Amino acid sequence: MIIGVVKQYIYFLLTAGVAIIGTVFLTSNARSLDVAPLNDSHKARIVSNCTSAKASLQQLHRSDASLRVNRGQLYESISTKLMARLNSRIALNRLDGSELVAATVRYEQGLSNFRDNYQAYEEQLTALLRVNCQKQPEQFYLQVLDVRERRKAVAWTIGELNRYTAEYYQIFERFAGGYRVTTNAEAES
Amino acid sequence: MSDDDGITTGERIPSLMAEHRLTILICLSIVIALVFTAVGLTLYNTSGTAQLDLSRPGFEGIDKQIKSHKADAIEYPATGPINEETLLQFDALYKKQLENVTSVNAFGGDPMAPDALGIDDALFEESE
Repeated sequence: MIIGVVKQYIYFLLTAGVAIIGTVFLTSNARSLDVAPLNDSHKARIVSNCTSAKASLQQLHRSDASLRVNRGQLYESISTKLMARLNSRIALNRLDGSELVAATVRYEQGLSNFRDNYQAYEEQLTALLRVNCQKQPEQFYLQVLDVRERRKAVAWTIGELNRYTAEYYQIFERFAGGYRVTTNAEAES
Repeated sequence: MSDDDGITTGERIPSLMAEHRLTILICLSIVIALVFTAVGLTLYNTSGTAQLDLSRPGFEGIDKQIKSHKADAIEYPATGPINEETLLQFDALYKKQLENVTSVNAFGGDPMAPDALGIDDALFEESE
């Protein structure tokens, strides 16, 4: 009897574990789409071209993955190896680098947005590649539109990051200009 | 409470557990391993690590496209004086990275446009 209870308890734990894992995967991949009616000729066009469309999407998936890693490394290195270090150096020399610090915070926020937007885009693209476009042309088409918007969001955050990178440089130039004026004035006096 | 043989439940449980301890150990080990695996996979998927993992199926050979940043690794010293020389040094280093950032139109274009993928409504386009 006791063995039965222990066995039941273990079965319960195993079932609960499998259920939890399944729920996590299903909810992470679940997509709710309102399928708008497409006309028959459009569906036929999707079905006939979906193999080549999927091949293009797979190629895009691969190239975007390497682009994500390369750009991520580049943006990270700007933040950690240049911005943070100059800010630290300015603070150690008891100079006012508050504008540069504020620009760094904006840049870091932009970098965080880039990571989040890319993750959302990649997850949706992976889900899109799992859709059987021969059997579900409508769903495939609507998911393409959704993923396209998410990719645009990634491009937008890249634009923002580039803007913050340039902004930091402008502030640095102002800081350097102010520093030179101050040191020249001190030298003359 | 006691069974027919006079052994109480309180006495029976420890003896049964001792008797089947290997089975219990294996079962508990499996459960713990499943829980830790689930936690690990969840973290892997939710933290964004999966997106950086180029060893996933379908990404074979992509790692060759990853640029090595060791060669052009630039580090501005975090300590030292601020003077004309060090400002010029930072200016040169930062300008180089700024060029790297702005030289490529990353994620630009619209490769996912339905017409680019050949899944647009051709008749609708023609009628427009």
